[in-house]
Amino acid sequence: MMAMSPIYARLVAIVIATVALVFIYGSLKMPMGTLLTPAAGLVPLLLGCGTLVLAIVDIVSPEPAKAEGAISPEAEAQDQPDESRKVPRPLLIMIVLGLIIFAFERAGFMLSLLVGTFILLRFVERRPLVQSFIISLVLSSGLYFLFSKLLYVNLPEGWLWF
Amino acid sequence: MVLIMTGILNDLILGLSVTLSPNVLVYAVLGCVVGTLVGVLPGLGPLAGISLLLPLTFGLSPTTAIVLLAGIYYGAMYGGSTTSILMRIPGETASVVTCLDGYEMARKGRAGPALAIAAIGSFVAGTISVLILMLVAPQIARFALKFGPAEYVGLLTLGLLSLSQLSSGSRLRAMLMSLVGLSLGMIGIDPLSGYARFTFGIHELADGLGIVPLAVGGFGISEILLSAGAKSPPAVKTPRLRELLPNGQEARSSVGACLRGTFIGFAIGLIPGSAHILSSFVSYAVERRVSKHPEQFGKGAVEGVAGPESANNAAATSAFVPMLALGLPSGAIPAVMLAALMTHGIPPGPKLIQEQPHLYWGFVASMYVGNIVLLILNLPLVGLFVRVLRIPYSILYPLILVMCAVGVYSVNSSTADLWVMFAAGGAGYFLRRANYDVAPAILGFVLAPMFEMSLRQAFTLSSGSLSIFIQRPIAATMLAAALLLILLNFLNFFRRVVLRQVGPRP
Repeated sequence: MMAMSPIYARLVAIVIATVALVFIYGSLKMPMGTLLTPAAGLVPLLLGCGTLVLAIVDIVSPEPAKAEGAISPEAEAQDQPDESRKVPRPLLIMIVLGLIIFAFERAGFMLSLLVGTFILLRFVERRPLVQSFIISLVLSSGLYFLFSKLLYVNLPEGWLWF
Repeated sequence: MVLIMTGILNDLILGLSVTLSPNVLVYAVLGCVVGTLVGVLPGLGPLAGISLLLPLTFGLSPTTAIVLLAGIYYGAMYGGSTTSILMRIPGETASVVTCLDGYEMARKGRAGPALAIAAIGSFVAGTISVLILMLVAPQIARFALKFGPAEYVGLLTLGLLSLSQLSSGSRLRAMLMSLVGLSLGMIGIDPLSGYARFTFGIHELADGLGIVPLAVGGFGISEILLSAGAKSPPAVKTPRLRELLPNGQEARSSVGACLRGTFIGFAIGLIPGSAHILSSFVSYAVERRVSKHPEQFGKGAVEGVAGPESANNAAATSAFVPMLALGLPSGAIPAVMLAALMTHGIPPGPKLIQEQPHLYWGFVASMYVGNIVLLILNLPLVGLFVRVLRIPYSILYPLILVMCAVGVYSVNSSTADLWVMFAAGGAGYFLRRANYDVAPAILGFVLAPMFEMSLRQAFTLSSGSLSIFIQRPIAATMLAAALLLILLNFLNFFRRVVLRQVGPRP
């Protein structure tokens, strides 16, 4: 796993602080009640304030030293064999996952999974065409059988009625 | 004493009758096999494995579900040692220490005995730990029945803070993530007033975020994203069955280490946090200290395999004590398992043992059965498990990814859950890359309803006075300990940041 530079870690803390601010703002819109009868907004407000304080402390504090047993930069580099590709692999995976979810109830279970897995294998992982197709077909029909016929899960039907 | 023992024996017989019924036994065995595979595959730890398979348990009875998940958990503990010994690749974090001496033993041609000692040590530790769990958990639960809302506030605060102290990364960030988790738990309709909180008009959010999409996204999807592009490990020669037997010297050396590891692991497992990881490191250090030949450590010392492997299995068992006795998970894995019980409509807490004897004793008995199954499975099938590693990760992860999606969808037949999983996966990826531990957030999320309810009830009982947290001795002690932890962290932060900027005096 490749760790981010301290600036990215701070950026994450800033995002958390911003979300905490939104959380506090939302809590203030809710009924607070009293300490005798605390209402819906009290605990979220306390948690939002706590999160904001800790996020600010995290932003201003220096980056902690790497934990014992952490991966060395050399090992990290070895774990990332294909740095030449222009679009990072995690982003591609997320895009395909997003497409699968989007198509799930529209195109149906089988088609969305078949196409999604095929895209992942063929275009993200660059596996051979026939192998990608066979694995996708076996996987999607196997999962359809497992969930629909064995576990009786109500799977979405799409253009292909399954 | 005799009466207590007779009672426990009767309860255990009840548990065995549950576990040995064919439909539960099948899932206990299945859990052990899947768990071993999860443990063998580097990068896919027990937490990600349990999270990924969680949705599949919703069609099962609560007892079967918890037996299956527990099987995956300790199966992973067993399986993690295999790749550590044969390939110097820890299948899961608790097996990192086993690499040191296990791999050295393998290089000397003693891979078989190393695997056997790891498996037997795990079996002994698992069995003794279940015995202690069986005796201890009901007593703690009986004591915890005296707990009121103030005590629960103290217990949950201390639990979350202790977890942050033992987090592998920054304590501050672990505390921050606990608060993020607690905040996420506030989403949905307030159970006391019916007010919709942070739902933004999306009716799917009225019931709050689901633990399954959050856990699968935060641990499973983020793990896939982080491991994407990783190379497959090279092929390895596995020992034959007749090469597994340790010689007399190795067997004698491992007995003491196994027993010490068991007790160290059980004690550490009770502490919140990644106890099974910590326990293996502590056990290794202890073995090195008590050894007459400490110079052998790192060069293939048998005790360096037996101790840590026993310790991490014992810790895995004792981590269930606070979960079963108090309804308080001591780490992310028990938290996810507790969430599974809650999804099945089983309320966690000290009454669990009394009100759900079939579930509790069935679960305890399944641990005995699971340990035996793992011992039988692991040694003869070691070659098969190692062969799984030859499947390229580029084929394996699309399979896991779509299984995550279908599994999450199957819980509520809702694409909203899939989008929550998607968001949690993306957030988990960025958080983990920026050295934020996701586990405290999931634990915070699971504990959020209990924490909020206890806090509000405590205020109502005390007529809005904070004195309830001081007047009740148990609550006061736990909150004082929590305060002390915060103070120590503040001092640490002050020393690290402020004094560094001022610089040393001339």
